[in-house]
Amino acid sequence: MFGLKWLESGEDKWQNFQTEAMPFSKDLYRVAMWLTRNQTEAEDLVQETMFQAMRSFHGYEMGTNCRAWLMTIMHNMNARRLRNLGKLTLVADTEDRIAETIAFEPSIPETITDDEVIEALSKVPQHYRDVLVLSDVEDFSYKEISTILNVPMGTVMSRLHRARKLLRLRLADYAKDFGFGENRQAAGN
Amino acid sequence: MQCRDFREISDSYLSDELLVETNHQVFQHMEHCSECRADFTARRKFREKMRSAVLNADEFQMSPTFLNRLNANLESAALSQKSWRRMFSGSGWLVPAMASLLIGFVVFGVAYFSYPGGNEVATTYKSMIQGLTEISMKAVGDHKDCALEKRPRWEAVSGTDYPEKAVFIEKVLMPLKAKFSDNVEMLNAHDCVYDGKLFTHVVLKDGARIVSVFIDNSGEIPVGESADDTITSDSNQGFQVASFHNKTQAVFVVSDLPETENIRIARTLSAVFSV
Repeated sequence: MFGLKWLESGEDKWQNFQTEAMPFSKDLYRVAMWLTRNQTEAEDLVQETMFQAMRSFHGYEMGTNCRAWLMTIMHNMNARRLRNLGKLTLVADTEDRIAETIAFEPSIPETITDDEVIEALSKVPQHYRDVLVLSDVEDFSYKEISTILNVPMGTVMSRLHRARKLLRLRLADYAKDFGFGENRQAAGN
Repeated sequence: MQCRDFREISDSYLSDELLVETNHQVFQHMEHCSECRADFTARRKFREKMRSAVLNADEFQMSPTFLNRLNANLESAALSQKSWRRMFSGSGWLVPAMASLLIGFVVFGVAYFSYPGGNEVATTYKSMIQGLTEISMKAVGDHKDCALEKRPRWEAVSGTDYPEKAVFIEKVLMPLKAKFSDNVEMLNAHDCVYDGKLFTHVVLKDGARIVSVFIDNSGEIPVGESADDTITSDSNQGFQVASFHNKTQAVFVVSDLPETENIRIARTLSAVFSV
């Protein structure tokens, strides 16, 4: 109650961690797959995240938003991982420019398969996809996403807006393939 | 509100990220504009599709082997850490640190209890939380005894008239239909007593799921002067209970849905009840 978790025995600590944090490991894995696009790397990332979370568990207040707390740790771990691999890219200019200059939003095709949705989503640039997945798939609030990604809330909102536009463009490509998307030309593709 | 404005913010509406007043404007616009209603429905359906596509895709499922390994590794690491008893032995810094902490607690306690408003605020907050918890438990009992036990009866009489039908269609059913699915049905609305507690009970159905909305008009929870848009969530006997209050009412949403879904229902209703 008073935050004296360091007085707990290992058994108590494990019991609390198992109750509070472990149920979210599947959610972490799903997001880790979006971050890494590779099963082995996703498993490593989830494992590192859970170990880090257990080490920092004394700082977590029981009953608060454990899922968001774990997701924040995982994004920090991923940023560190990318820095170590020399893969951390801050901005993808081309996609930024495309997203900014789309003058309209193509309508959402009605006939589209789950695989096409996932493929379209995977083609959205990483920093847009991150917010889109956290918001529209994992159902985090804008405020929670702002904390998880350590960016201002305005940035979350603008990235989401652009991400949705880019996703619609990708989906319009599939619609065109089926012969019922008339909007692609207007998009300048 | 113009259609263009609506389309700019409809995704935020879908995510429950708008102010209560704006929610109301969006809702009003949708009632009168069939094109925007259709656009909103398309957005909602696509979001549901994207969600289910990811949640059900094989590549996003954690393998049971990895889960077992993760569990075993974490457990072994946790149990190998020093227990608190061992932490005390041989730690020269720990005794002075504990002494300082104890002094700190004593000083804080004296300051807190000598502050005239401190006790009062703490007591009011404590009684509010206790009140919410007690009524939440009764709401779960009522959900089981009334909504679930009498489900065949409610389904049989669904569509017939019941008291204040129009009010609950406007305040409960329509916002949920707009936000979630056209398939949401209201099976019944009635006054209901459980364990001495009187609720107005709205029974909703979406496919196989039954959701209860309990409205407490008794004013038994000291909710304070102003309305609060906080949603409180708890679980009890395997059911999720999300609650919120306005100036005069406390509302409890009870279901066996996942916690986030149950909270989303409460958040949608809180926007309407706060107006």
